[in-house]
Amino acid sequence: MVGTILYVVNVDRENGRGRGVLWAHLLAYLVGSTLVGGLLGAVGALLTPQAATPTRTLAVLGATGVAALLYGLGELSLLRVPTPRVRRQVPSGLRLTMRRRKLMAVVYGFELGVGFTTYVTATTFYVVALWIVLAGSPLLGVLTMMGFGLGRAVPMLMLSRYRGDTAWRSRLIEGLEGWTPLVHLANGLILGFCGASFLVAGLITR
Amino acid sequence: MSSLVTEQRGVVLPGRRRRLALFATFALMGGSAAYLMPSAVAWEQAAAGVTLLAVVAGLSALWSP
Repeated sequence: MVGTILYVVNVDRENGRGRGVLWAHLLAYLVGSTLVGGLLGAVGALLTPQAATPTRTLAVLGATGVAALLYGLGELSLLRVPTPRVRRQVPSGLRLTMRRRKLMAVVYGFELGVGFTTYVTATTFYVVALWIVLAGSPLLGVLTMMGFGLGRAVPMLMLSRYRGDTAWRSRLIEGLEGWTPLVHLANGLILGFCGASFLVAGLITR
Repeated sequence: MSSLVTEQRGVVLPGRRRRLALFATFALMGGSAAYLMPSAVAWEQAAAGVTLLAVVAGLSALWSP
């Protein structure tokens, strides 16, 4: 994924033109993620009761906590947990067929920002989505998913500072692949920390 | 393979028992932190925690194939 995106967002700059495509792509991450956050929150508001009772707090924090703990164990390959994960990636062939590069960068960014239609590395994303639905607040959904969009955008912004060629991009992808187990380990441990804290917070709230 | 062993290339996870011990330690720390916090801020605490998870999920997306 990163190879395709870095090529798309940097090719104009490599040809001596501006960084408009890059910024359009990064903005599309945020638009996609905040939009899906707002939608999930709105769906939750329709489906869940809004009264702030201790029972509801326990239900929301407890369910999110249990999900985070289970997915944390899954990230550490200690438990098989079903996920709604899709295997699809952004279509790399789009860069060959779509002529307007900025539009293509926006389409890529938006779809990656939405998150549900493409493969996501860590199941942490689904715990976040669950919490947004259960919390039932579009505003909280927007603010939370903005974190996901920013998390996607910042590394891309930093990587785009390097004017690397195709060989550099290949080396980068190979280098990143080697660190994948550590990414899952970090996600698993953070999910364990947060999951237990949500569960305890739900249980002690009266 | 019970320790952090490196293969020809890249990082390999610690062994199963160590991963479980690490997970339990982190879960214990998270649970203790929540227990020590006033229950009145449970929602705010959860919102902050989930936002952290969202950022981590976004950063991890860099490793998407």
